[in-house]
Order: sequence, then C-alpha cells, then structure tokens
Amino acid sequence: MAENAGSPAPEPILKIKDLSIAYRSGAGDVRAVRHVDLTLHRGEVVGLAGESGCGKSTLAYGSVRLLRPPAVITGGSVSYHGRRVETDGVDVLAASPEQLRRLRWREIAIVFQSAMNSLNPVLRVRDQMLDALGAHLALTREQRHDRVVELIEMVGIPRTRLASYPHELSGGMRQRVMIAMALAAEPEVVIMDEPTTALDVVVQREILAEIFALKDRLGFSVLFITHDLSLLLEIADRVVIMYAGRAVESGTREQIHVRSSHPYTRGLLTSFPRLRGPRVKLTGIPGSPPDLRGALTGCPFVPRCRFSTDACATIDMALTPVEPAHVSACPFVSAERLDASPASAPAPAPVAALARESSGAVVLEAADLRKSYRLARGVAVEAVAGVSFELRRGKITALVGESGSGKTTVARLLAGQEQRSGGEIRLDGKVIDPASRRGFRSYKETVQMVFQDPFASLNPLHTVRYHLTRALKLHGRDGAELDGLLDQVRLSPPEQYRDAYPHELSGGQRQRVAIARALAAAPRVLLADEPVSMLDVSIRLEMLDLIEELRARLDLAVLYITHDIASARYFADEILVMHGGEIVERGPAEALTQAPSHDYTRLLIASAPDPDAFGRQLRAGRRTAP
Amino acid sequence: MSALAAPADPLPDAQLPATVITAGRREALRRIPVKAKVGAAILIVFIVVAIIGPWIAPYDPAATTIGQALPHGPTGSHLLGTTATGQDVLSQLLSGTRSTVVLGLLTGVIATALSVVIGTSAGFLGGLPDDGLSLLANVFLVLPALPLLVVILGYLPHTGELPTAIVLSVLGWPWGARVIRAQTLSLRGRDFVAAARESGESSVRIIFFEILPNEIGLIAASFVGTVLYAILTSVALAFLGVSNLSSWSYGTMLYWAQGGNAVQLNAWWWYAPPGILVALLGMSLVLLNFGLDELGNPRLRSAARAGRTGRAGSRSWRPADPTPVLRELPTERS
Ligand SMILES: Nc1ncnc2c1ncn2[C@@H]1O[C@H](COP(=O)(O)OP(=O)(O)O)[C@@H](O)[C@H]1O
Ligand code: SF4
Ligand SMILES: [Mg+2]
Repeated sequence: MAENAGSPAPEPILKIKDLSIAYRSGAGDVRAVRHVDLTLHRGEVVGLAGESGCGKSTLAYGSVRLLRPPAVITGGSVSYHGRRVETDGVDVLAASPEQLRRLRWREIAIVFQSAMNSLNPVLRVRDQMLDALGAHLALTREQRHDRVVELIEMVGIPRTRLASYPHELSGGMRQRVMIAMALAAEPEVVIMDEPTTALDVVVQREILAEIFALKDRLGFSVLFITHDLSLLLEIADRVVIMYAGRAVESGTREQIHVRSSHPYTRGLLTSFPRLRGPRVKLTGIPGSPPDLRGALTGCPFVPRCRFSTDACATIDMALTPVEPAHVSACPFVSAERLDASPASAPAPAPVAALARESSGAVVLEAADLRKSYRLARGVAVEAVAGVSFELRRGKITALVGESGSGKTTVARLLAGQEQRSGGEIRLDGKVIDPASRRGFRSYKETVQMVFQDPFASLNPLHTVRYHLTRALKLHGRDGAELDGLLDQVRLSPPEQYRDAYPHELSGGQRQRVAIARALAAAPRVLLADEPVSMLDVSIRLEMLDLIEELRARLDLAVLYITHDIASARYFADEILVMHGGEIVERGPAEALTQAPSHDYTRLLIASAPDPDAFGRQLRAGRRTAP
Repeated sequence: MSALAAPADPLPDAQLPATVITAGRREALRRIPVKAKVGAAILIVFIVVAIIGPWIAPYDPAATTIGQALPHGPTGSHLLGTTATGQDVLSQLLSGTRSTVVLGLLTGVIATALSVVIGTSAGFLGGLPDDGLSLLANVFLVLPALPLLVVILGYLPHTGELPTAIVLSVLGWPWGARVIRAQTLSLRGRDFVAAARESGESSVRIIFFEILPNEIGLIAASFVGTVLYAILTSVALAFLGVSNLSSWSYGTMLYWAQGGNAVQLNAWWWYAPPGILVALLGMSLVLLNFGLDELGNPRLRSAARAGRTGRAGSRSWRPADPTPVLRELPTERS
C-alpha cells in the first residue's frame, strides 16, 4: 500500500492457516469456518467483512480458542508471534489452558460483539475495572487505582464517570469502557467484533477516531470485524471478505475499493447508498447465505450470483492471485467485467422518490407534539419538544437523527402507543386522540407501526400464521388472505413461511412478517421505526425497496425513521432532521443532503461512512470529533 | 468483565441457524436436562403410589396387635417391621403417601394460581394496582409462617387436606407472585406486546396469549417450589402434632414414631422410612426445579450441552476450557 511503502517489511504477528471450525449438532455439523488463511502483521489493521452468519465471529473467537463446545476446531493452525513471548511463536491449537490464559487479553484482547451490554449493571464502572485488573495483572491496590484512572482517561471519559453505574453511561461510553478494559494489559493484538454496529453514526465515528489514535500511540494490531464493508474501506489496511465460512477475496483496502473482482464483494460494495454523487438505484445482494451444514461443492455464491454459470457448481474454491497481494476465489469474473456491468444503474426513473408527484393528500398531521417523561425526584425530560409535520399519501417522509433524539417517541405518539403530553394529532383534518381506549382499534385501521427490532417484535411462541391471521381477523378480514399478505411482502412460496416460528426466520424475513402484519389492517399510514437498522447491510436495500413498492402500490403515507441520512436521501421525498426533541431542519431529500444549512445536519452528513473522504482523516490520526 | 474473560456465550442463540434450534421433537426430548428427567421419574413413582398405595397395602395401617408393646423389626410378614402397637410400617407408608402427595400438589395448584393471577395483574397493570398488590405480597412474606400455621391450623377442623392446603397456599403465594410480576413487567415492555397492540389485540388476549405462554417455565418452577414447601411444612406440622393425627401421612408417622420413642428403642425401620421418603420426594422436586431452570436459562443449558458434546474428546469438557481441537470429526456426514 502506498502509505506503507517506505516502512520495513511487516512481521506477521498472528498467523491463521487453513483453519476450520465446526459446531457439532445432532442435525448435522455446522461447518462455520472452512479452510481460512489470515495473517495479521504488526501494527496493521485487517478488516474482516461479510454478512452475518458467514463465520466472522467464529473465526475470530476460534483462533484464540474462546468458543465453547459444541464448537470444535477441526483443522489448521494458529500461531502467535508477539514480542513478549520468547519462543518463536506460540502454537495456539497446541497450547495448554495455562498458556492460553496468559495469551488472552495480555497478548490478544477481544472487544466482543455487543460488549457494551455485558457490563455488570449493579457494579460501578470503577469496581468492574478494578476487578478485571486484579484478576489478570499482578498490581498493588494503588497501582490498580492509578491504572484505572489512566485507562478511562485514555479513552476520553472523564475520571468522575468511574463512579457511575453502566446504565448511567451512553452506549458509546460503555463501548469505550470495554475498549479501555481490553487495552489494560497493552496487548499486541486487539480483535474487535462489530464494536460500533449498535451505535449511531456520530458516535461510531468518534469511537473509530479514538481507536486509531490509541493504535498509533500504543502500536497494537487490529482485526476488525463488521458486516459493513464501507466502514472497512475507511479504516483497514487490508480487507478479507468472508462468505459461507470461506475467505472469498482479500486485498489491500484500495484494491478492494476500486478493483474488487469477486461478485460477492461487489455486492457488498453496492449495498449502501452514498451521500455524494448521482442518486443511483442499488440492489444489494438479493437472497440469503447457504446453510452451512455439510459440504458445499463448487462456489457457495452460485444462487445469488449474477454471473454464475454451470462451471461454477463444480469449481474448486481456491484463492487465486489477481494482482500482487490481491486474491479472489472467483476464477470467472474480473474487475473489468464487473465494472462493465454495474449492479447499480444511474437512476433517473427507478429511484421512485424522484419521479413522484409533488402533492398527495395529507393524512396524518402532528402539530406541536410533545412528550415528557417524569424521572425520579420529579425531574422531567422532554423527549419530544414541539414537533410539527404532516404525512401525505404516497410520500415517504424520513425522520433522521441520532439515538436519543426522540424519533421513536414521535412514532409511538403517532401510533397511539404512548400518551402525548401536549400538541395535537389530526387524522384527515380532524383532531383525534389515538391513545384513547375507545378510538384505538379503529385508528389502527388507518395507522400502523413497524418496530425496529424484528427479533423482538414477533412473539417467539407463535407461528407466522398465528401472527398474521390474528391481525387479519381483528381487522375484519378473512384469515385466508394470509397467502396474499405473504406474497405482498415477497415471502414466497407461502407454504414455506406460513407455519414457521420466528426463530426459524432470518432477520430480514422476520421484518417482512412484521410488515405483513401491519398491512393486515390495510392502513393508509405506515410508521417504520428504523426498519433496517438491525439488518445486514446487504439486505437493507431489499427491505427499503419493498417499502417503496408498497408505498407505490397501496398509496401509503410512510414515516421512515433512521439514523442513516444516506438511506434517507436514497429513499425519501422529504427529510426532517431531529435533534434533542426538536426538528432542526427540514426539506426535500436531495436539496437537504446536498446543501444542509443546520450544523447538526452537517455533522450527520460528515459522520456517515464515506470511503472517499472520511477514512483519510481518521488514519492520519487527527481527532475529527466536532 | 467480558472483554477479559470468555463471554458466557460469545454467539448468542439468536444467531444460531434455525435448523440447529428446531431439530425436531426427538431432539427436543433429548435436550430436556437429565436432572429434570430423573426428578420427574421419581415424582411419578410417588404419584402412582399415592393413587394405588392404600389398595396395595398388605394390612390396615391402623390395625394394632393386642398386647404388643415394643416395635418388631422387619420379618417376612411385616417387610418393614411394625410399630410399638404392632401396626405394619409398610402399610402406613403406602397409605400415608397419598395424603402427603395430595397436600403438596393441591397447595401447589392453589398457590400457583394465586401467584399467576396476582403476579401478572400487578405486572401488567402497573401503577396503583401494582403498588397495592406488591405491598400485599410483602406483608405476607414477612408474616412468620410456621407459628402462624400452628395457630391457624390448631383452630381448624381436621378434615381432609383442603383446609391445610388453603392455609399453606395463602401463606405461600407471594414467592411465585414476585418473580412472575417481575417477568410480566419485563415482557410487557417488549416490542411483541406493543406489536400485538398495534394489530388491535385486547389486554386480556395479550395477557393470556402473548405474555403467559412466555412465562410457562417460570410458572412451572414456582409450582414445583411451592409443592416442595408444602410437603416440608406439612411434615413439620404433623411432626409437631398440628395435624389430623387419625389419618396417615409421612408427618404423622414421624409424630407417632417420635412419641413411641422409636429412636431410643433403635427401631430404625419405624422412623427412618418416612424420613427417607420425604427426603427422596424433596430431592425429586429440587432436581425437577434445577432442570426447569436449565431449560429456561440458555446460559446454564449451553454449559450442560457443552459438557455433553465435549466428551467426544479425550475427557469431558469444562466451561473454562479452551475450544477443543478435534482433527477428525467422528460424525462427519456430508
Ligand atoms: N453455538 C452454535 N451452534 C451451532 N451453530 C452455530 C453456533 N454459533 C454460530 N453458529 C453458526 O455458525 C455460522 C457462523 O456464525 P458466526 O461466526 O456468528 O458468523 P458472523 O460472525 O459472521 O455473523 C452461522 O451459520 C451460525 O449460525
Ligand atoms: S464462481 Fe461463479 S457463482 Fe461463484 S462468484 Fe464466480 S461467477 Fe459467481
Ligand atoms: Mg458476528
């Protein structure tokens, strides 16, 4: 890579060779990692990307043998070559539990997926950090106290917060605490599994800047795991793409960014809408990854690949060099061919938002809507502080803001799930009270809300059929319309989904069921609260396209809530930017994103991942926090 | 902590492929923890004895032998010997099981029903009703149960198990009600409840079809716990003589054995069997409770499952151990 050209030949620090890992199970072993090679060099950031379930976490945890049975490592080798280990490399797969105990955390530290939720809720931050240090390092009491203060300030949290309980800290702060703890023993390798996925863009960006500043100072290497490739293109030196348990492409950041030659990588690259450049119609990667039980012959990507041919079903999945340091598992497609047939087309027409009529009839209006919550000791917080807007038929209005800005509360007030503390809601021009007991049922015929987390919004004990037929019956429709409903949300064939339980479905499928359930009421207004934020980047577009299609077909008024302003640009007619309970800026989607006028809107735009601009600032080690 | 130690479950069940979780009825049956199976098996034996015991008892448990003044040890005609008055111990055990088991189950049913009704109402309604019901539960929790029972049961007519069961239930519901309330409170805030409301479900329907089914494990555990409490308490009461002494139960047997100086006379066949059976019955319930806990708590479950799978290696696997390395998968079916 250009920036590294002058530095001495990098030494490998963690070498994973031909590693295979399986989860044993009565119903067939899930072979989650299949013959993966990955080398991490000193001081390097390697990014590991792929959709969820493709084996990233398994690879990372398995390589330090942290997985519990039924996981077993079924082949390969892992060696660690830290400065502090005298021998020339520790054979991790042959190491004794005692050796591993010394290796983990002190040499190789891990920030786990959703780590920030694993702080003990009843212990103050200081005590948790002291406990952790005490358990792993031989330090005196004094030294431990000093170290805790040093660590917490290192990640940019004032030392006074040490006395807080976890719930008193924001998600971002909790994640910083976890990072501080991971760095406590000055490890040489830090494995980060989706460290910022649960955070919104502004916080994500601050934390990434933090990680990079620390890396430059302390000199550790990072294995960074995420399903969001756009992020890696900003931060990683090298990128490894995984699919169905295998590494399918690997190269420098630049190679992957501009010359990726595996169709799957291209799919990931075209999965996220951008804020700059022409507005294009994107496709994502339709379909879902294969079942990992048993052997997969040929290329596992065949069913989802636009270029697949008969030969693909039998090829040997070996990584072959495309150019120096760049390997790909697809022998049939080259970067040139991919460039020639872009998955994304400039879209004057297809991006429906552009083509929509300018005025639909107003269905639902919020006028000076307010909601305050009473906290302990009579203190009240105003979650929504006077918000006014209207939803029109056939229009998508995006409500954009970071978490805690009051977006969800607005939706819940409009849905009647919550009692407002001030303002008016008007339906078809008439003032109504959606939360009132009497009007609620009939109000639901018009206004339906879809919740953020499809893993939580379906009852785990009921089948799809139960969820949908109940909803149909409650709205006076025939339960037999079930299949039509499934068809509307593109869950076909219906037989495959009717009797499935939620846990048998993927996140995307669950969200479709949740949408179908809302459609059972034949509503005119759909309130969608971050409908894609819990889903993989690669399937978000499909979901947005579905909502867009439903809008067009059913002439729905849609309120689309998101923290991702780029997706709002892609998808909405109008954008409302919300901050601290108020709408700080509003305007037509394209105009607002291209010429924002409020500082907060600018910050949102600046924080959105943008491989072309933002990475360089981070990598130069400059603090970019506003 | 989890940045340092292995997480309890680095990959939560939510990420498992569906196919692994729904591996069919057979698999589900296999996944019931061994503890629960053993507990249930023992309990079933007790229930069977409770049903048929009085009929298969070789003697009338109250029939005395005229003139006998000392307990006789086991013989061919009295397999577990006799009491001081010549009553057959085995027959007493066989007949007494019914009363003990019935009292336990009856109390379990009544107290659990109370816990469920009060716990879910408090949790679901929140606000004032919740405050009131929680206060009530707390009052009952601090009441000194045993002395109170002695007093109340001393006044009640001693007919059948029902009065005792009712009194035990009234004193025993708050334990279960508290956990069920807490669970309801947390379920009520979940998105699937809000989503059910979105489709227009009524509150009653939400309680019975959305919330309660998710609490089955908890309710079962609370039931089992209450049965155990009822059995131990009733035995203790009978032993103290606060019970219908003209009927047979493990407790009354212990009472008579104590009164007849069985220990001093070294008549182990008289005092030991009821004690052992109480312990065994208690153990079966405790096992069942542990098992239910494991079933409802994925963390415990995965640890148990891990222990099983790990035995494929050289020795059985402990939770803190590193991921096993198994170069050959024995059951590779591809
Ligand atoms: N305990 C487990 N038992 C069986 N299969 C599992 C288990 N944990 C993960 N898997 C499966 O292994 C595969 C890889 O999962 P994971 O490593 O979590 O992927 P990623 O981190 O890329 O999302 C998936 O198919 C997942 O469902
Ligand atoms: S091998 Fe075939 S199916 Fe696989 S990525 Fe290449 S073209 Fe597509
Ligand atoms: Mg993962």
